[in-house]
Amino acid sequence: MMDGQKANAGPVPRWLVILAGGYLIYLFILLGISAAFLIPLVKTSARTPPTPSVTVSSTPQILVHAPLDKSSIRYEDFSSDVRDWNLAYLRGKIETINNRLILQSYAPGWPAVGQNQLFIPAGSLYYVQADFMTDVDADQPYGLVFGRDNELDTFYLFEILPRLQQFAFYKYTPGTWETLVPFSGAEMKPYPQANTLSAYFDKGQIELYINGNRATSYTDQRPYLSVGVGAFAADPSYRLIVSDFFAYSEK
Amino acid sequence: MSLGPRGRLVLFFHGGHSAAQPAPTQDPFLATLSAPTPTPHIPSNYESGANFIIKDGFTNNLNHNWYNHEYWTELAVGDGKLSFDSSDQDSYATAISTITGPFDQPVYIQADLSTDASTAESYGVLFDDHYPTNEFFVFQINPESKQYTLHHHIGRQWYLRMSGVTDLIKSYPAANTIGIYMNKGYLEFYINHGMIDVYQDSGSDFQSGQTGFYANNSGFHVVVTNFAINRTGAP
Repeated sequence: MMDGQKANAGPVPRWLVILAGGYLIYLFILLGISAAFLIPLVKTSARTPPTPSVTVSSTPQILVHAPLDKSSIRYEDFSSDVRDWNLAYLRGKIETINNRLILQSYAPGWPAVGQNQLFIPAGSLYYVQADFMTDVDADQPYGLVFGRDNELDTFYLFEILPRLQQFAFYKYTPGTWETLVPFSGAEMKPYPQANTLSAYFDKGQIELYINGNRATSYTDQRPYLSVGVGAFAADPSYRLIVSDFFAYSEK
Repeated sequence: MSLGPRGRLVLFFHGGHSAAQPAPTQDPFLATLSAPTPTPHIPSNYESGANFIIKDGFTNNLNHNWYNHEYWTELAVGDGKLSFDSSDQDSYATAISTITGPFDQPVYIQADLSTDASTAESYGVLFDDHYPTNEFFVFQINPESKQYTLHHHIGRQWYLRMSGVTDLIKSYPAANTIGIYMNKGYLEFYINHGMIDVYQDSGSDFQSGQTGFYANNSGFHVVVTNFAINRTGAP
């Protein structure tokens, strides 16, 4: 053996070369079959309308249905006097503490609604989103108010009860609660974590989301066209904590 | 106004057979949230002593310390009391002091309020008044319904911020002692020396405006006595 030469193990047997070649041909055929199945699937999914994508970020932002025109987005960080936010009914309190809106009912049977009638301009299409949590592990629901008309005293309520992983959807006219979607199961974060609730409204076509995932959709044949927004606390057993309120509307 | 009745949800929990879940991370904000009923800054036997900023004996109004925003308000100061009313039906009346703010430290405002006639209307203390923008807060009581409210007035709009009921409010003809502890964006409300509620707006400074009194309608005079604003020391 010469110096610097690698040790040679000797010639490869002919049967081993044939076996390796056959194996490569088998893999090539398998790849071809897989491609034949997968490529049509990719093309098919590209043709269907895209579902709203969920944006995962630590910075507060719109999770679904982000508008093309970002300038239309209205954002409330509750850093200063709540001004246009107020209680819709007696027996409760609405205040701001360290960038959170705190809503509290003061008596059983007297739910509290914190509202802002002027948050976004009127439009037939709008989107509302906010983060909701409670100061204790609530055994009563709470949620997002939208379509609020201060004069007529009407609104939609999308409420959740994380303790039971349930949500429901109501339409309120003075003295009457109409159940649009009864209590149903959905994935949501347990206390003490916040859940992001959002509602997308397009001429009565309503989509409701929890943490960016669609919980339900509903078509209201006689929709409320006002765009007042707010929050709902069912009873005095907890304080509702709301943050990062987003909304936009389009004509 | 209140919402229509809606049944309270009754929960049914399964037994504790499932495996324990890891505790989720708590939002740090929850630790900063005060107890639902915080400890009062003003004890029930509070006496202002010599620590007052203003103590008005209401002997006269020669220095024009008291004035009203509205031409229909009739205001009188003398004989140890301030008296005012609205002469215009369905219009409120105010009596504002020019020397009651802004304050650069926590203060406690207290006065005895009564009316010269039985009324179903509310009246109370006005604070953080900014005349150019017509912005102020009003804490008022209704001796008939025992209800109290906190409103923010901006321009020509009223915004309800707080509303409750307490038996501490005395009926006509008794006077009610109303007190407000004020420390920047934090308020405590007292009626007849008992703390009945607190209010917080950490982005505001309630000490930045002037102080006065408020009548929600015509048909009665609000009578104010024993008015004082005191320093309370450290928050």
